[in-house]
Parts: sequence; C-alpha cells; structure tokens
Amino acid sequence: MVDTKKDDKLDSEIAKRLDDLFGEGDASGDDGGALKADDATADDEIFELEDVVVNETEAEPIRVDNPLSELKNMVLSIDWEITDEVLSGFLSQIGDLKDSYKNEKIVLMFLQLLGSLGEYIKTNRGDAHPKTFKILNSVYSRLEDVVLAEDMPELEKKKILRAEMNRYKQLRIQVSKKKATEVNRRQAKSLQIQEPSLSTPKKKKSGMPSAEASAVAAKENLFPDSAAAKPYDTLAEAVEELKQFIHTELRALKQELKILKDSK
Amino acid sequence: MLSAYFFGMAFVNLKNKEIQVKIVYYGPGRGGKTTNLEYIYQRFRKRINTEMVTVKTHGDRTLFFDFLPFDIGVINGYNVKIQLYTVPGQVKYNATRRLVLRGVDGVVFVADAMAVRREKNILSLKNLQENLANYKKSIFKIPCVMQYNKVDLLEQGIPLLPLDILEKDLNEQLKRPFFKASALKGTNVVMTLKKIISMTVASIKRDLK
Amino acid sequence: MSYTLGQKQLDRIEDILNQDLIDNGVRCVFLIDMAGNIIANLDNGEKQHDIYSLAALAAGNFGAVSAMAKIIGENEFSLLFHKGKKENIHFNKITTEFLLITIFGNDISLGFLRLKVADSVEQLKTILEPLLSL
Repeated sequence: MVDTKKDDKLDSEIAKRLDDLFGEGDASGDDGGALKADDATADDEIFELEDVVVNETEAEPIRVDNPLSELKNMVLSIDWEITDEVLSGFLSQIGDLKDSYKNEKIVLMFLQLLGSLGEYIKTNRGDAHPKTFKILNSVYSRLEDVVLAEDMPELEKKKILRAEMNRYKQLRIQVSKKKATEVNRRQAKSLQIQEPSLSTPKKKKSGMPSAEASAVAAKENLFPDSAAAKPYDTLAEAVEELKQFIHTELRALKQELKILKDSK
Repeated sequence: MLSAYFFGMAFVNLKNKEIQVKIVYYGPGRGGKTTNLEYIYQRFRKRINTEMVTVKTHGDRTLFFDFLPFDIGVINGYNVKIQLYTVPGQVKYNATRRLVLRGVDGVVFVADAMAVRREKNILSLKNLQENLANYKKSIFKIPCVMQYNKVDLLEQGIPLLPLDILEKDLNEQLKRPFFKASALKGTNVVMTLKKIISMTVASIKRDLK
Repeated sequence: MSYTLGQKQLDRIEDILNQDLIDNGVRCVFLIDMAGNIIANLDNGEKQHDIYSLAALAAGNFGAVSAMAKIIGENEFSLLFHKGKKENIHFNKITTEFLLITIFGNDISLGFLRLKVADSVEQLKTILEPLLSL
C-alpha cells in the first residue's frame, strides 16, 4: 500500500538533505567556495551507546597438555615457511625431546625420523623432494597420537612406527632416484665428470653428497640392529654406501614385484 | 530476531538504525565514471569527510573499482550511508564488473556522448542488463539515471551524438531521468547524484514498508 | 608503461615456470601484468580454468589488497595466499609491474611452494627487469 502523502514528505526531506549537502546546482558558478554549515546534523538523532560492560576474567595459566606443543608449532611453521630459523628451531626441539624421551625407544625412533627429515630439508631447501613435507607432517601426527594416547599397547605403537618408517624409506628411494637422474643430466651436460667415484679422494663442496651422507647416516641410526653408525671420513665411502643401499633396495623391490606378478 | 540483514537491496542495520545504499556508476571504458566520483570527491571533500578509494592501473584505468562513501544524515529515523562505486569499463573486466555490481541498489549509466562511442554505449548497457540478471535483478526495475557525458567536447569540435539518438539507443524502453553532463567540468554531476540518491532511497523505503 | 617481449624471452619464461613449478606438482601458473593481461600461462594438463577472468580478478584482488595494506600502514604484504579445500592460490609480485600466480593442490606444502616461487621469481626478474627501464 502506498501512502502518497508520506512519500511526498519523504521525497522532500531527501531533497532538502541533499540540497544542504551538495548545494542547489553544479560547477558552473559555484566553485565550492561557499560551503554552508552542515545543518543536516542538527536534526540527527543522537544515538546513545549503551555502556558496555567488560567482564574481566583472570588470565588462565597456559597449561601444557601436549608435551609436543612446541614441536607442533615448528612443524606447522615449516609447512608455512621454510627458513633457517624455523629449521634450526625444529632440530633443536628434536634434540631436547630426545633427551626427555631417551628411555622410550619408540618415541625416540619417531624423533630420529623427524630429525633426519629436518636435516634433509635444511640442507636441500628448494631441492628437497616435494613429498618430504607431507611425510614430515604424517610422522609428526603419528608421533602425537602415540605420545598422547594413554593406553595404547606397545604393539600398536610399533605398528604405527613401522608404517611411518616405510613411508620414510619410500621417500629415500625416490630421493635417490631423483639424485641419480640429476647426476646423469649433469654428466650429459658438462665435460667435467661430477659423478662421484671411488677414486675421488677430495671432499667436494656441493650440498648433494652431504645430504646423501646425512641421509645414510640417519638410516644407520634408525636401525640400531644393523651395523653401528660409521663415521664417514671420505666422501667416497659415503657414496659407495649409498650405491650399495640403492642396489639392495632396488633388488628387494624387483623381487617383490616378481612375487606380485607370479601370484597373479 | 535479526538485528542486521541484507535486504536484497540495501543493507539495513536495525540495531544501529542505519541503511547502507550502494550506487554503481556503470558504462563503457573511458566514459567518465571515475571522473564523476573524482569531481564529487574534490568538490565536497570538506563536507563529505571521507577518503576515496581507487584501485586502478598505471594507465589510470579503473582496475577493480573506485569507492566513495559518505553519510547523508538521518532520514525518517534511519542514518543513511551512501556508497558510490564505479566499475572498470573495459570489456575484459567483465568478471570484475559483475563482482562490483553485487548488492547494487541504484545505477548511474554514464554514456559517452562521443559519436565514435555509440556502439560501445549500447553494448555496455546490454552488459549491465546481463550482469544484473545474474543477480536476479531487472534493469527495468532498478533505480537508474542516465548521464550523457562529455558535452564539453562540443566546443572543441568533436562530433557528439545528438540527444535524440542517445535517448533512442539507450533510454527508449527504460524511460529514465537523464542529464547531459560534463564530468570533467562538473556540469550536472551533482544533479545526477542527487537524482539517483533520492530515487534509490525512496525505492528502498517503499520496499521496507 | 609499455613493454614488449620477444619469443625467446617468452620461451625462457615458460621454461623457468615449467622446471621450477609445473614439474614440481603445481597445477597451474600464470604470469600477468598488473592490469590483468596474461604474459604466460602454463598448466599440468589436468584442469582448464577461465584464465582470462582469473587474471583480471587476480590483478584487481592484488590491487585491492595493496590498497588495504596502505590503509593499515603497511607498504605491502609479504604473503598473499588463499587456502581452499582442494585447491590453493598464491600470489607473488615481480618488480612493480608483474604478478606470478600459482594454483596448487594439497600435495604441495605452502612452505615448499614459496621456496620454489622465490627461485622462479629470481630468474624471471632477470628477464623482466630490463624491460622496465625501456
């Protein structure tokens, strides 16, 4: 229903308000110098703000329910941005936690996995395999499950650990493959053969071999049942170890594939 | 009970007794939409008291929108806030235009009166119709004012479209109020603005009842 | 401001984007100027987006966000990134004139992507910067 009287009143009110604000006409003649005092505000309702009562609650002390909360922060930070600061903080936190959990073998293994991944990222940065970060997150999540679960049986924990270690191994294989193709590519490109060989006594500066060395070293640390961690004096030794590792892994894979094929 | 809601038209805050009115200046590229707002901003800076936001390219073409908000005070118990927007006129920015049109309450169609722009005006108006339809709004119903801009070029000897052609091309069916204007000089910029504000606010009030 | 890019330069740009980003799992990457014009556009062959609208909106978005930064007293933001359920989008400015936009899934971590983008940007700068002094 349209109330024409009210509409007319409204229209005139709007018109008056706009005239007050903008004046009668436009630029010609009026250069804006004659600014009228804004009468419009005189009619404005004064909107009264109710007093807002703020209930002050006592600041709760920060409870550390999760002993891994600091590590969690680091993992989330890595996901967000990869800097030396974050990575150093991460590795340092791993070190601290290793002390705290030195009597819990399974947790220790988890931490070693994380440490190894952290070292790899730190050394390789943008050259790290893209899947590294997913695995880092996954290993951390499983660690958190294991640590926070109060009644988880040992067997269950081992199962979870094994699953993560397998993923880690898979990553290692992919990393080795990636490195191998990169090495071949470089070989094809330049005359100087950069491929590491047994006869190379000198230590090279490139980041690649040290990553491989630390990756292999980490592997050794993860499996205390196998040969104890050897110190690597020469680059050549490290590379030879890696070569052998690749060969054994590939052989194992080939065998598994064969089994799968035969069973079909 | 809701204390604020988007009415499909205008944003009404019942708690604060405030109405926000969105008016979009639409039209072909380089037609004078931004110039309209710049004129208003320059002229009424002291009274308006708010800043104008522009998102534009290095070449001074509107890239996203220009935005100029101001209060016009209390009308019928509600504090009325006007938000003026322009859209980027170039054809390639259609997705952006559609975005800026969201929630529009009133439109000023700034047509370029230069003879060479005849086709562009028509295409732009059609584009407006399509983009409004995207939000289930009809160009025949939405408050709208036509502005035939750049009349100042006549004295420079540049061929302009005569009024009857402009009206026939753009306003034959819509039958909206129109103004011949010069955004650069300010001719009828304010008249256009006053007209669209009063049309839009009146329309909102009717719908609110 | 105007610039021209030769075929060799465009090829080089595509190489960089392919190697650093597409080969590392990024779904789609495009290099645009601040007006929303597409200079280079690559994807991994999976999905086809309406890149023209994307480019215009990306430029507008970046422009709007830059305006917001100035309002709050910042010169610019160091991270412009939108996270979706499956797809994410990251913006990176290259000089004052260009934007690199990457669309990637959740198989790539943001941190890693930022490293790769930073690498790409360094290389792209060498091609793009000389254009601006013309």
